[in-house]
Amino acid sequence: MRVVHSNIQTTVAVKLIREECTSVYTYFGKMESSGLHLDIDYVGSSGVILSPEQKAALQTSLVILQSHNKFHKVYLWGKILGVKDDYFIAQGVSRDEMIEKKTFYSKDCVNWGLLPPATKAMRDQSKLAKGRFTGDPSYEFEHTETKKVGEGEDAQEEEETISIKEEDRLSSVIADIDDDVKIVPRGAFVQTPTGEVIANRSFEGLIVSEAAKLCSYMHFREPKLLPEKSLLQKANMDKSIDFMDNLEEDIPKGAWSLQFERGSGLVSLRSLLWQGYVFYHIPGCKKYGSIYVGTGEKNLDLPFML
Amino acid sequence: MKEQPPQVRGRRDLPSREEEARELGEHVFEEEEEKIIPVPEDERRCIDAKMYLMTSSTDTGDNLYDHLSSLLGDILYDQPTDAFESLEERSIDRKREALYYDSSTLLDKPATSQEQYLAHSQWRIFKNAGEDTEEYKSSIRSEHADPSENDKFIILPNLLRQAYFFEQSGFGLPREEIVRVSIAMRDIIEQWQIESIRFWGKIFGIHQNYYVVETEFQEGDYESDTSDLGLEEDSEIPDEGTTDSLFDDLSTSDDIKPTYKPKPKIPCEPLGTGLNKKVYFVCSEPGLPWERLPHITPAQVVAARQIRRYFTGNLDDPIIAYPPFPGVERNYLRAQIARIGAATSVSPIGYFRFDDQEEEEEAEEAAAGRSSCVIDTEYDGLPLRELVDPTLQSWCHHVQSILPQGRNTWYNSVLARVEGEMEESEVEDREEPDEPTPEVGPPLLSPLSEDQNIGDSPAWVVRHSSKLVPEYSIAMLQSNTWPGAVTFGADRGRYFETLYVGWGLKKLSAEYDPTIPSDAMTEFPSGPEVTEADDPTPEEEAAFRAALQEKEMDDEVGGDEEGEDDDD
Repeated sequence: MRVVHSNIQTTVAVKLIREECTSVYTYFGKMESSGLHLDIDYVGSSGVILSPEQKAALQTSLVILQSHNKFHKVYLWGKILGVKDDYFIAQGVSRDEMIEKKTFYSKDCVNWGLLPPATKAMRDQSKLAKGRFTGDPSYEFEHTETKKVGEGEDAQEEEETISIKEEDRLSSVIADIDDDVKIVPRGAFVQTPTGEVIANRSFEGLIVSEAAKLCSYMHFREPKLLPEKSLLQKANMDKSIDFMDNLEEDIPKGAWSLQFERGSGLVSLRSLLWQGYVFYHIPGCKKYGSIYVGTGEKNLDLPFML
Repeated sequence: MKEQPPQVRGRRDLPSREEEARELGEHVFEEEEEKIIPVPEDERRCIDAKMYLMTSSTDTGDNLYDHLSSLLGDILYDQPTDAFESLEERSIDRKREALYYDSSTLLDKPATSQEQYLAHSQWRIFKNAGEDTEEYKSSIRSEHADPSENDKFIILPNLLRQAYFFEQSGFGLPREEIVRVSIAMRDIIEQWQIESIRFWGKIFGIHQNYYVVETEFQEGDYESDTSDLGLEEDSEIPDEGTTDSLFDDLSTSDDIKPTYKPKPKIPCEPLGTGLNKKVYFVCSEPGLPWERLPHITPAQVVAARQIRRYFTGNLDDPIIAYPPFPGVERNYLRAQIARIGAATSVSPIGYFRFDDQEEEEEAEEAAAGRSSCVIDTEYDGLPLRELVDPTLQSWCHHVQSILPQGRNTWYNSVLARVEGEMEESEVEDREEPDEPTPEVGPPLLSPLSEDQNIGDSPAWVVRHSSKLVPEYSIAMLQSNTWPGAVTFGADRGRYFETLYVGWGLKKLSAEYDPTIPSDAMTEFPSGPEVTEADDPTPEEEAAFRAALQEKEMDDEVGGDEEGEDDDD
């Protein structure tokens, strides 16, 4: 009897959470399209500025993108600077923001094109491409690799040329950045008993002293370090909140620059690994978000620079 | 006058409830039972009534008993004729007069947050600026004089206009921040005698950021500076020759003398010229005091090129890097600013021209490159089409590049050393085979098309600012060498400005390759003079002394004999 009873309770709880989340309300994620014109100002002091023209165009085109694709929400993800042109990137998400997302790019903030999802092979290959993005999605980067063929004395050096399409590289870089540095404040998202990751409706923002600590921010990705932790380390964790890796465990230490701006009215985190990634959060308020504006090149020199 | 309320707060004054307690079967302590004295019934009722009157109200904390007694006391003191009529009035007055404290006496004392601290420091600059200041009023009052004539703030650039154009290009800083910087820049003008001033940009650090302002001093004011720490430190480095003295004294053989010779010290350019022409001020937030950056030395430029490091935001942070950097973070910051400034100061071609008179004088030095240029007053601008031409023929550098030596003008270290040793007449005749070839950078006003690429990517990216309103778009130039440096060119290139917002790091074409420390020097060859021996024990010493004495005795005897022989 008792077992059945508790089961009923769980299902009721799940139902309740679902109902709460399906009700539509406004909150801010990662430069959500609806609050974009306000939110972009929070990252202004990091040198991220949109021209009035771009803002105007985005306000229109992102709404259309959302309605055409029936997304739960659309975020302006950022901008990747190219030589001839820049790519504006938007991401449309469904309710579970961690898993179901689609990435779009645009060069004029008006017309959006879907990017192919980044596969493992694509991501490995695009790491070989060097130099800046050109601004032409069909451009092909070439990488020559010398391989040794044969064994022993018969070994011959053979040159192999790999060509990497810029579109694929773009998609891979976005996936890499999402994987490496996309962060949210602790408690902003919860994992339901069914494993779904949804925005936490009762998230009230971090308090100032919490916001000053790196452990209050989580990587918004499938946890990589968490499964390796021992039961003892996991003992004090809240299963529904601490289901992601926090920033304190990042390697190398010091890969983030955490600063308070306007005294303590705004906290901004800049990634030193992906220069150009900025995260902001207003302590005591559920406003947070992030944007990447950069060349799409990882800072591989980081260990020497700290 | 005032009746003292009877002391009834003791336990003994309270009516005894022991009977009731006993009836209810409650436990009563034995001690209390013994002490309680029974109170007569009348007195108990009286005390009960008084206790009721003395119950303090929950709102104000006062009680009726005190109120009545003080009211009666007042009436008796004043002896008014209308005591009966004025009773209510007096009561109301009395209640009103009493100082009631609405809130709790326990108040929170919130800690002063950083936000408040910053707001207070910024408040100062806002209060000191604008129309309300005395200076501005006095300049308005004197009607005959043109107010702009006396206004020393007239040299402040219109930062908001610049910010507007940067915003068109999707770059820059928020406008509020620009306003704050603009007001804060007045502090510098008030404190120093300044010829020109401009907002250079913002450099991010890990903990704090730097807002950088570039100024030029009036002639001769460059020395009025106490921040030459970098130069003083440098002069402490021992000169060539002194280091070798130790080895000279020991008369060691040549092969073990150290082969290391300190490189000739390259002096820094005279203050007010070359890389030290501009003076920079930084602060971490507009409103906080400006810090003047020290002058730069060539050694710092050379060292800064070899290291790669984030700024921390603390000017006195040591730079721990290899090769060692001569100075602290403020020197490193100054070096990076100089490098960025030299590489990214660009203007539309034709805006600046060489000064003709100077040209004649320096005709001989034309090969070495002219060092200054003036604004061409007849410049009429270039069409936008040319400004955004990707070949970059229409943009040029108007600041000299830094030579590998770390200076703008080449310094012949060999010549300088020889000059010190020889007479001047001899110098002219001198012809040395090891004469170093002078380092020459690209000449001034050379177009950007000659800049080196960064790997496969071009050094500059030039664009229209607008895609939707191309008729009124402006030209926008991004540096790829120093990501974060952006120049716009509006009004046919007649209005242009450069701003840097970034990490203060150069882009490399490949991954950074840290310099590997040089090999350790060979050990000093071991020999008796450097071998350590055990100290002799007292016994050994005694034996040695005895042996010595014996020898002396022998010598004396022998000497005498010899002497005798000589005499013969």
